[in-house]
Amino acid sequence: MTDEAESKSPQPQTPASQGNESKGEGVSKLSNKELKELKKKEKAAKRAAQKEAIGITPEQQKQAAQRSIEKKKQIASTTNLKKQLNQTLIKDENAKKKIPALFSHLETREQRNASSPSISHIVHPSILSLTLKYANYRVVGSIARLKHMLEAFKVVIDDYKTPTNTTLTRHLTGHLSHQIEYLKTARPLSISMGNAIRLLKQEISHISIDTTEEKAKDILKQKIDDFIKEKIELTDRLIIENASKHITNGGTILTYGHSQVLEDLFKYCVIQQGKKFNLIVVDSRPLFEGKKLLKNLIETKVEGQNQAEVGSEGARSNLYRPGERSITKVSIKVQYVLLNSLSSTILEDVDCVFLGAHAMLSNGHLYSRVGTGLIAMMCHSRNIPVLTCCESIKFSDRVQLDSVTTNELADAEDLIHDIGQKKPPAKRSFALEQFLKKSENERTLHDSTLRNKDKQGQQKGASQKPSSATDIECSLLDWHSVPNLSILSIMYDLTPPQYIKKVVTELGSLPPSSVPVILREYKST
Amino acid sequence: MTDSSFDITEVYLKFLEEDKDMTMPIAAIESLVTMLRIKEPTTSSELINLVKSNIETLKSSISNAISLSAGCDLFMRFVLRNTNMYSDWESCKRNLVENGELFVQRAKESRFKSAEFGLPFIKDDDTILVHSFSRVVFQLLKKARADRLVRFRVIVTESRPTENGYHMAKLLQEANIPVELIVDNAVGFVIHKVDKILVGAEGVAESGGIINHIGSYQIGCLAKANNKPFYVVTESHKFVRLFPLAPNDLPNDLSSFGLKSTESEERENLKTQLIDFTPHEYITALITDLGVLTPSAVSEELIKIWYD
Repeated sequence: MTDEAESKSPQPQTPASQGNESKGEGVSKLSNKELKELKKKEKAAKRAAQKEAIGITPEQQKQAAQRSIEKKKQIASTTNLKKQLNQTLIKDENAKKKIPALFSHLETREQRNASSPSISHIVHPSILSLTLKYANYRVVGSIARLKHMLEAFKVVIDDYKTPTNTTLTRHLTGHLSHQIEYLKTARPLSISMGNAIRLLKQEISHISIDTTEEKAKDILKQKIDDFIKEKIELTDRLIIENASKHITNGGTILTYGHSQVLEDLFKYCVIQQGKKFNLIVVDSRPLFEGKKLLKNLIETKVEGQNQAEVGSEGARSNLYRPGERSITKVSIKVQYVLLNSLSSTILEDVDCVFLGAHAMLSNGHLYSRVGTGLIAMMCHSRNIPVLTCCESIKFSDRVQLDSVTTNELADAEDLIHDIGQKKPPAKRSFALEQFLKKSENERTLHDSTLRNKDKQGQQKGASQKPSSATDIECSLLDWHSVPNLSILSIMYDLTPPQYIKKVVTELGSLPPSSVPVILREYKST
Repeated sequence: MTDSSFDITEVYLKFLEEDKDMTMPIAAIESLVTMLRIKEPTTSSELINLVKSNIETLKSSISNAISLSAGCDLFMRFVLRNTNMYSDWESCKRNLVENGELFVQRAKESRFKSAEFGLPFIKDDDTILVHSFSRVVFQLLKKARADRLVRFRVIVTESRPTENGYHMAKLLQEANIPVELIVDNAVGFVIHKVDKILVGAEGVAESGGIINHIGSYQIGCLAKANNKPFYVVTESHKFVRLFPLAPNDLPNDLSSFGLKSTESEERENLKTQLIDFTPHEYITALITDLGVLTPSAVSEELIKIWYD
């Protein structure tokens, strides 16, 4: 066992590990390696002699070597982290097999989690808590995630202290990268988050090296505040004003899941414009985001103490007399259906479909919560105009032709357990993980020998299970042990541009074919 | 703001009447420039308010306000940008009026430019279907006949209820172009022998679809079904920030504006509109003074105009 481990041990990469290993090798009598060492030394001596001939003293050489080693150590602390993570990654072949072959290239939740332990000590607590919120879908939705992330970054920047011998401009970017790396362990970054991070890093690099730390931090926090205000809040207001033209008094609107800007749009139409309309909320498993929209709409009261919840829009409203009545009682007639019951009768008198967006790709495809494409196609075939409201921060210059190549693989357990009770994944140290795995292997080995003994009896017992509802649940609970059963839960899908009539952005309304125009404009500003 | 000494609507209508060749957006801009010259506002906020209120009165008093509002919006945009550029108020005002006139001049020229870009589309032995009357389409056809000596035939629809087609046919005949006049219902009958379709536009929406004389949408559908190219000849100052979703999704007061019922009694409950919206998927290309554009390029141009 030990022999194997040593022969497998990777080629020394960092000088630090080199020292350790050479000690280990000294103990084991590998003549080959010793020979190599010898040759190395000879070579080094030769080189030293050459250099001395040129006029560099051995002391200088040593110093130079020391310097380079230190440099390497520094690199090791930042860039090599990822490499380390990959090495500590537990390769669970079994888990891989549990994903349908078409989607096996996507990163599983387990793989993402596995990469967290070794950097957790430099991660700020606010990021830790945010990561947990992401992981159990307490914070969900592209814009909500972006907003929370920026708020967390503000705290991180506030608590940040530039280490000696570096400058804020150089070091903070790396520091933030660690935080982002950790955030990614919960869920991959959304397009909007990626865009925001890029802009933030640009801001950091723009800060003059002479700026004092306090000043620089203030500038950055101000920039983040400005960003939230400009790119999210004001943008949403413009979009809402633009889109509200399509909600007519007495009309019927269909929407899918939950999108913050759409929720605000519906509230705006009721509270500010006094419109009455029917709203069909389509929802789907496993996230049930439509319920959130429903809840928020019901909780929106027209004129009353609860106005504070509605936010600034509600406070300005003068259209309704004070009261404690929910807008769903006064103005919006809501119908809640699941995606699979989206039948002909429901679509019969829909005037307009509003969809949320995760991202708009540059070829005009809409990348959004899984199920969106289905709705868009269904409504298109019935000649119902499909609109999407999308902030320009969500525009991406990526091109994607199908929703398989890039997607987010959610936890398969989401489909089995109630999402409301979802616990964040338990983070275990590498050693514990390995120990558990080993012991489990042993146990399964043990089990299989046992099972072989009374195989026939067990098989009969399994096949005779009564098929009541609870048993179906139970059989899914241990789906890991059922061969050839895989459960797939993906987060997003792609809607081709021909099914989308209009994209409402803060720069105006556009057909999906004009997404590149926005990208160009966006890049130039 | 607008006192009795100056009536913007009157000026606007006068402009239109004096010059038959003038289109609505240009007349609107021209009357706004005239207004500025007469009114002589003393502060920039007064100027902006003046322009704003005049645009409002103009829009509300004229029934068919689509291309009119395109011109007004352009001018407003122009005013807002220019007032910020100068520090000195006097030079700003002078510049505004001068540039306003230059603007009108350029807008007038754009029709000839559009026609120039459209010339290669017309070939010998073509049969061209034209819907309703459009100055820029006529300009293009006349130029092709007179300058390029192209021999082609034109089929003009009668274009009820305005019956603008008769006017178009008369003008074309005078320009020595063989014309055939058909009723609107006969478009399907002739479409297979038509080589291309040319229409003008009241306004070009953000999607690249067009708002035009009623019936354009039907012709667009027929053209698409028969794989005939459907070209829109227009000027870029007709691009409007409007995005209808369906042919009937136009602001209410615009689509069914006043049609005097001079008809006999049995037509009393005849309900009609004057304009409709043709979505971009039916349009092959837009021939404008900026060049020949695909429908999706319109939003690019619009964004350039508004956000540069």
